[in-house]
Amino acid sequence: MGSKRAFTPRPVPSRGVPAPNPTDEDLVARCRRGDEGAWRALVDRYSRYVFAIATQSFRLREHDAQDVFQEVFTRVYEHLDMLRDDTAVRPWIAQVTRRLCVDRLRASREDPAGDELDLQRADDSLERLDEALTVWEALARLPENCREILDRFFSRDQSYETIGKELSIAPGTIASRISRCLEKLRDVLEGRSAPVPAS
Amino acid sequence: MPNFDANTIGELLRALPAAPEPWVRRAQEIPRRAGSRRPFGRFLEAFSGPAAVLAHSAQAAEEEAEPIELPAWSLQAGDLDRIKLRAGWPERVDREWAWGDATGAGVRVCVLDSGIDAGHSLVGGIDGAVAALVGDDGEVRIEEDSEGDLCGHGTACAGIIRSLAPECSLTSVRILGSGYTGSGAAFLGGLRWALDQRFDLINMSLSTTKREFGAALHELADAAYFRRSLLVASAHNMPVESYPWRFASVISVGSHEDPNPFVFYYNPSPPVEFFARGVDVNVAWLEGAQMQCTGNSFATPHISGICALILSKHPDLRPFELKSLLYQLSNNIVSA
Repeated sequence: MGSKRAFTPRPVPSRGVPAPNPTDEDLVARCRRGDEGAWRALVDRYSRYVFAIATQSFRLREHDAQDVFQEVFTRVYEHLDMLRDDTAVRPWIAQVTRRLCVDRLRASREDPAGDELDLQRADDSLERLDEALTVWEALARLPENCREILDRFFSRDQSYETIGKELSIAPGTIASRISRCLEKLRDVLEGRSAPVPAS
Repeated sequence: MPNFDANTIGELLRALPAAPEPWVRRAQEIPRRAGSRRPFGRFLEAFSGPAAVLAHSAQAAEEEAEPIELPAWSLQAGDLDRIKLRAGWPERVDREWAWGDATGAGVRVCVLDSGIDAGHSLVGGIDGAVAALVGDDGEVRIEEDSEGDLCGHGTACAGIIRSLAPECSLTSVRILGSGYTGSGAAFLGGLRWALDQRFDLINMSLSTTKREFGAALHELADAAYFRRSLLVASAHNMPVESYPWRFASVISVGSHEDPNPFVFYYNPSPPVEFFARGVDVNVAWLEGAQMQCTGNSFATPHISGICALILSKHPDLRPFELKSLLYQLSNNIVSA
């Protein structure tokens, strides 16, 4: 007799773009109320970010990055009640990730003198990852068809031919569609467009 | 804000590749591994991830039909056969020898926690209370404590120990605040003070994930072992590294589901060495209340209470002898 699960986890999409989402504030509030769907959405929203900080900014080895990844979300889950400003979950997650990466690096280094240079480089790259997350968040606010095509073209490096085949779109129209979607993305990024409701 | 031309957008989208799917899935399952019952909708913890409290009201317990996921480092009921061990010694002590007719009298137990509400009917009085306070200079002061319990957790642990060892002496060392958290300095300072007082037994239903405190805690745990102070420490409710329960010189405790408070198991696959009752435990809480709680925090005082009984009958036992005795008396040890 094993103990039963208290809920059934939904499968995680293997890849792709996050669906249009509620605000961080909404998600945090729902997580506090024990909404496991909101927790999954929060993890989904920040998984790329945490992963990139660990593997790109701090260049942790895979098993270290995996430990840090789990520890970050464990701490976020445990400490969610202590977050004073729910809109600040993003810098908080970045800070927790950075701190755990630094701890991990220091624990694995015999020569701590090399830390400072690495940390400076890591902190510099954090700014860029922050911009990248902003673009991903803006992408999540676009209609489904735009999210899909921009993700395939920019993130997955798919060719016009592959995109056309998989989405049943005439290859000749893909360039113009990407262009229109890019314009919408810029509008969201520059605050000229209201978020699109969830599809 | 950068210029978001197509190249920049492409670069930025590529800068955040998807995290490996199993990593994401595991992180998304954290609430399930932590257990579904959370007091007041929150996951209580101390020192960045301790033996947390997973509690809910008695009324909620009646309304909830679904069994819960055990805390991490615990024993699944279906695993009883897996951990069954054979004792190869020609003669075995039994529970009657170990604690028959014992009451805990003469044993000094320290509860290192959030304080104790001495007036709670399940606690029945205590013999002292201090608080470990960290000053602006970072130094820890030990002061007489008249605050009682700031969050209920310490009272819950004290009540469990009292229920098993009704005549033991209880002393509170408050190191946790109302938010179920405390500083590492207070943790170390409180534990040091408790060791100096040479308590027979120190219950620690908490832990810290902070490695910078690990080495100091390890030294204190070893010091306790040689001074004959038994440290009983909760395993974390989450599958993470934390201290001091990971140290061999303490008795570490996870949960099992059996409602019998005297049922405990030795774990042949450490680091957690013993499982005790930790699911749906009726505990004392603030303002005279009682709650049903789940968590390794509540399994730990069950082992502390049983150890208090044993020590009241056999006061000269050293920590390693007591641990061996617990092993022999565990419900999963069968005769060869």
